[in-house]
Amino acid sequence: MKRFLISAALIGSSAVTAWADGHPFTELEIPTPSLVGTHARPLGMGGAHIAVAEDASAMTWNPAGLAGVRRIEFSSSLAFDNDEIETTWFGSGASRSLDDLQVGGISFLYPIPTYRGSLVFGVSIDRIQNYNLAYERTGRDPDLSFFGSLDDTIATPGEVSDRHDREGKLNLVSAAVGWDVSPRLSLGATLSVLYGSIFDEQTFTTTDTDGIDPDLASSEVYYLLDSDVRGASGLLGLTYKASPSFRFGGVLGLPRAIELERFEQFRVVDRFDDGSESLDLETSIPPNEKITYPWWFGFGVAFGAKGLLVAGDIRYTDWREMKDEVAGTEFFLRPYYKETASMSLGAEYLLPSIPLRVRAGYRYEPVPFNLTYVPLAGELVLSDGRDPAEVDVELDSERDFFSLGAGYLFGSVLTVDLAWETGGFDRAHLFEPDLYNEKRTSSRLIGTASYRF
Amino acid sequence: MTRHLFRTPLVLVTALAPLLFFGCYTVVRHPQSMEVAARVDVSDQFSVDGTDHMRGSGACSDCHFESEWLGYFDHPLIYGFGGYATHERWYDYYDRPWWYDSYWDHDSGSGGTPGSPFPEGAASSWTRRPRVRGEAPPVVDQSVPPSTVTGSSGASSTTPAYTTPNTQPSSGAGNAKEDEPASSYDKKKRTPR
Repeated sequence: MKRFLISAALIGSSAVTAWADGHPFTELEIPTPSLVGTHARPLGMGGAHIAVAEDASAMTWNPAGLAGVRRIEFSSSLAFDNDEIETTWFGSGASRSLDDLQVGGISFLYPIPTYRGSLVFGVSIDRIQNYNLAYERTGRDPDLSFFGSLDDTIATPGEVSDRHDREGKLNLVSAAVGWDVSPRLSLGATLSVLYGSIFDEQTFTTTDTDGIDPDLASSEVYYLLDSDVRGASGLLGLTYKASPSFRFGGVLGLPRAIELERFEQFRVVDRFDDGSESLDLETSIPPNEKITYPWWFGFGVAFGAKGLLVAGDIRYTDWREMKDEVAGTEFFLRPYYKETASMSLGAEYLLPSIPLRVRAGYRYEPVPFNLTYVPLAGELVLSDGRDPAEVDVELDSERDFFSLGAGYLFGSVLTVDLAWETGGFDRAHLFEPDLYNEKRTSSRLIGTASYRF
Repeated sequence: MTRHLFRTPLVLVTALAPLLFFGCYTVVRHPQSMEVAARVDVSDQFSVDGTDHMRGSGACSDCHFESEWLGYFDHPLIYGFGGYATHERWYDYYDRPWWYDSYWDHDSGSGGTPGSPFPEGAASSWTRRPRVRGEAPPVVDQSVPPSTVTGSSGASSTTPAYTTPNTQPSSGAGNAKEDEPASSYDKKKRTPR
């Protein structure tokens, strides 16, 4: 059980289980895929692209859209991310932000010449998920009961600091095909191989600021996890052209299976009042961890006429079906996740006089995790029931994003699109919101250049 | 990394397999002359303009009239979604097939084969041909009553009919496009690339 908590927390975002002996909170959240994508046009439309995609973005949004590609296309994207987390813990505030610039993706599409219908192949490399995180919370816990006495019933205060740094990425190497099966109906499929890495460091420090303990000044627990990630996934899609103005799209996301090959290091450093230290170091190569994300479904509709394009998508995922397994033992995640229905709305307007298009969108993407901070007075209960000791976290506001974008056509062969999205969510301790609350905001700027031969 | 990771692709391949046999609407290889001739009802053959091209209830007309062989790439149902077709530059970017021009400029010179857009021995459709500027693409006249198109998959659509040719492809006895009808679907702003 301990191993599970550690491994889950490693790709989660806060404390680790081992710290639970000295601290009441641990986060189990496994990062879930987001709809952000790696192309500017979908992002600018809030991700409403299932019925719209007719370029390289179709490989990740709806491969059936590839059937609408008529020219050989080469495209690449650059993405800039800014993530900021503000926390309040025991009345003290902390804030950290992280910037990251990376290549979002590179794609190549080749439409086969046809006498009728369409047959288009594509390959791409996309960085579909960013594991980067910079998190911190600090505060003075009046009831830490860590210093001064071995008797936990005697409440003693202490300064606590929880810091989490993570760098990681998940890349998707995809091959896709889209083809027409009738003038109105197109089908498509994407097969993907996943690879990436996660380098995760977590430090939890308790300090005897009140000088309660006769010997111990502070205790630092450090945990490192270095993981290589490999996996596979796929996407099936269809597009139905109901009329020149209406299109529908549907996608079926196949389970994303990833496997983490891990190396971990666990270190405890106790610092004493006389300046001496004690070190406890442990390294290990634990068994691989296998995580399978569930199937998901998406439906989109788009209306387009006279240069105006309006689109909407809805996606359903039952995150309770997510599976986590280590060394043949499957951990029961169901109580901690929920089903979500994400929604995207977007519009694009094509200016009549110059080859410029502008767009805007809104994306509502609920957080699928039910709770964030779990008191680990004992082991978690692996059953359908919730451990009475668990503490729910209430979302003050669900995760949503607003986006803007524009694209310009140079000559008749090169498009450059830019999109910017910002949003986030707030959450707090269900019963004592002043004890802990956090606000997460993220912004993403994507630039995509596509050349059509 | 064994069964765990390959389970998903296996599911995908299994799911895709039936789709591979779902209709034959998309045509990447044009029927050869003998294949066409074998399907043509001889009694329906007639000469339109002195060439050997055949029209009637035979195989050629299955595609060249009842389907959208010419208008396909311009059909408003399929391309130009969102108003892109009405802007010349966007049309060129999104909708004009990269192999499109070569169809209209193909000059067999050495003589072609009835029912085939390319002469025997010509490069396959996978080969990119030199693009020749100066030819307007075929267009569809929406004022003409539509005809019904049915793909082999069973799906159907209503499409504008073709009118008389308004393009002047380069001459050549084997140029199959020469007697193909063209139309005028919204190409007023377009010019060749």
